[in-house]
Amino acid sequence: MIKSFFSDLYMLLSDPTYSVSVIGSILSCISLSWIGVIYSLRKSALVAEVIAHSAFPGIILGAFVGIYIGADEKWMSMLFILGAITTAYLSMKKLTFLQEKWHKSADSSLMISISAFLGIGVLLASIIQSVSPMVYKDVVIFLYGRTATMLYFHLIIYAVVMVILFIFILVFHRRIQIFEFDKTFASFLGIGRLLDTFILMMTLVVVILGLRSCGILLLSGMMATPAIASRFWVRKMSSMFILSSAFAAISALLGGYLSLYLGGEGIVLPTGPVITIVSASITFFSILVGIRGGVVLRMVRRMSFTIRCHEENILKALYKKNDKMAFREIMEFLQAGVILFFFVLLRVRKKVKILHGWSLELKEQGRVYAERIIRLHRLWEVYLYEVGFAKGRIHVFAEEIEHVLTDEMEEMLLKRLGNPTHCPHRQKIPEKKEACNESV
Amino acid sequence: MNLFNLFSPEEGVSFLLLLCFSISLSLIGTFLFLQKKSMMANAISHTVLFGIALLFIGIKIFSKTEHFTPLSLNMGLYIVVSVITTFLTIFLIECLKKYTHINNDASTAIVFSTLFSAGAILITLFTRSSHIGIDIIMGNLDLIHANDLITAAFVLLLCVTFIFVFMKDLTVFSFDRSVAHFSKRSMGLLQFGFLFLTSLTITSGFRFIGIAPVLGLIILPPVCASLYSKSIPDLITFSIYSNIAVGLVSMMITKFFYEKFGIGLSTSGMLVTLHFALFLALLVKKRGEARA
Repeated sequence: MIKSFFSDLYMLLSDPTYSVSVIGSILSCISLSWIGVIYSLRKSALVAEVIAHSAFPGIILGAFVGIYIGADEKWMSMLFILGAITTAYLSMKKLTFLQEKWHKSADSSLMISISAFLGIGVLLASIIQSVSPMVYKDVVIFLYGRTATMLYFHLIIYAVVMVILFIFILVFHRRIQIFEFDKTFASFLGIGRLLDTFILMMTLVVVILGLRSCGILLLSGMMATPAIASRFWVRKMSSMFILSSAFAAISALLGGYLSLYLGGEGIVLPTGPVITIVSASITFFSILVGIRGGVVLRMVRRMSFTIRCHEENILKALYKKNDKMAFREIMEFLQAGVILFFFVLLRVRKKVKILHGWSLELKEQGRVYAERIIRLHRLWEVYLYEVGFAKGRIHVFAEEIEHVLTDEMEEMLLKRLGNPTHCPHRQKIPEKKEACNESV
Repeated sequence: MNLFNLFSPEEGVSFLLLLCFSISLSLIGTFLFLQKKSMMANAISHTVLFGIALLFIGIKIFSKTEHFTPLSLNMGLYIVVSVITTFLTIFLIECLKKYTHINNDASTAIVFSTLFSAGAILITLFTRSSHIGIDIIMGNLDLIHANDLITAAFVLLLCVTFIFVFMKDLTVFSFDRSVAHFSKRSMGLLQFGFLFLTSLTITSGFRFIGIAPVLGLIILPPVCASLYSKSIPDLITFSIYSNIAVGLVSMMITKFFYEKFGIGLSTSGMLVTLHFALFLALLVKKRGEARA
């Protein structure tokens, strides 16, 4: 099956008509993902939504100019792009103006830009529909995106834009970093203004060219998803750029493939939605199992902490009782279910002896460990008592903190408190054996 | 003023329908604006397609019809499905925000683009045409039946009742979450009711007057009003007045263009454009006042 997948993929890429559209969408998705990384750092992933919607009236204005001067097809699409960039630029300027000068919330300024320009677009569209229905059809094709109609001409444009963006990011990498993470420092260095304008212009060009491969309704998905997915694997900005472009390229390639073969005979699924679904699946997968804050990882971490706490509590209880304890007794003490107890038992198995009749007894190794926990507990109690907490309250705090304190903190506490021998409740603090040897 | 002299009966009906929706949308929109959740309407406008796709599949399985037209869709079914989809959207966005540390914008973008593309793919797979879904939610103000008015009036009545009964609670809820949590009434139920009403109004609005005017009417009148009024009742009154005025003017301009030049302008586009112009004019005026 994998072999047939690769042979199909090879067929797809060697077919002259399909290969152009697939390569075109790969190029535009990669550029979109780079822009997406920058905007995801700014926490405004919905900017593509604004640009895409505000491009609508601009495209129609371009069409009006085209009809007026009698432009041919190639010039018409250039006029579309020019008009779209103009209105999108106006809309973005208005957005920042409303946010900065009028202190409107980001949410309402976004919504004003989207709805106002969409409304103007609908109005203009109704005019052009009655003036020249043919041109209106071209506008619709431009808006909803047709990868199948891509030509080499478009490919070259995409490649040029991508290379410019790549060089820009490579050269100004450090400045972008400073600008995105610390606006004040950036303005102090005097690198804010020009950089911001250039990023905005690149964004406009990339998003509006991307209209052709994704369509107006899906751009924000294509821009947001690879960046977010990469965020769950890496932390550095440069790695985010690399990884998100890889994700974008994979989704464009797979999307192009699946749109042809998934629908069965005779149906070609719309490419934009399929690419977005692939990209969204990658994102959801990353959210689940990503190594930087993925959901599964966080759950595992939390579970392992719980299990460690239980383990330490068992050792403590065995130490204090100084006798063997039955499983049932321990389970009641921990208030844990059978499954959780099983995992705790797996973890604690080297520090205790499991006796016949389902009970546990402490080994030497476990004894040392339990002594350490009790020492940490009582040290913390001494510390809190000295700081000024009431004697009745300190036990509860120490019960929590004893699982978290590290060896280094233990050293510091011992030094600070002057090696106390008893806790505020007049119980003996077990001595630290290695530390004694060292001091001798 | 007698509307039915100014307009023909059909135009009068569509004006009344527009008025119903614009008032209910501004009522809802005022509180969405205060809660900074207006972009929800945009997200819903995308995800509704997913609900429609599921509805199509359901119809195909149960009634075995092969051909679909946008008009054959039952209004009640459409509303039920889209309200459910809205809740699904909000639930997914909130889940993403809660369990991963993704911010609001990004989780909104992921959820709506995923649901929208799933909807588009399903519709293409099952109906072999990608335009049907979009036709359904692209309502047209210039093609309205008198029967639609009943639904619109019902939605308006529901909105007005809900907002006026729970005015105080909604105000508290919009401005101060922590106070709302400590008040005696159940805020969960209030929030649910408000979300239900929001999705009902927005999605039925898509069907009747189209996406562009719904998105415009949910944000522009409250924002215009917020420039000049400081209390919620003022905000609501202002948006109702501006809605009536702008609705009337846009209908008249459209009619004028149609009769003089034979150009069929889109009333909804005109409406949003005029509202936007009003917003800009108020902005300029307020700036002048601030300077003087």
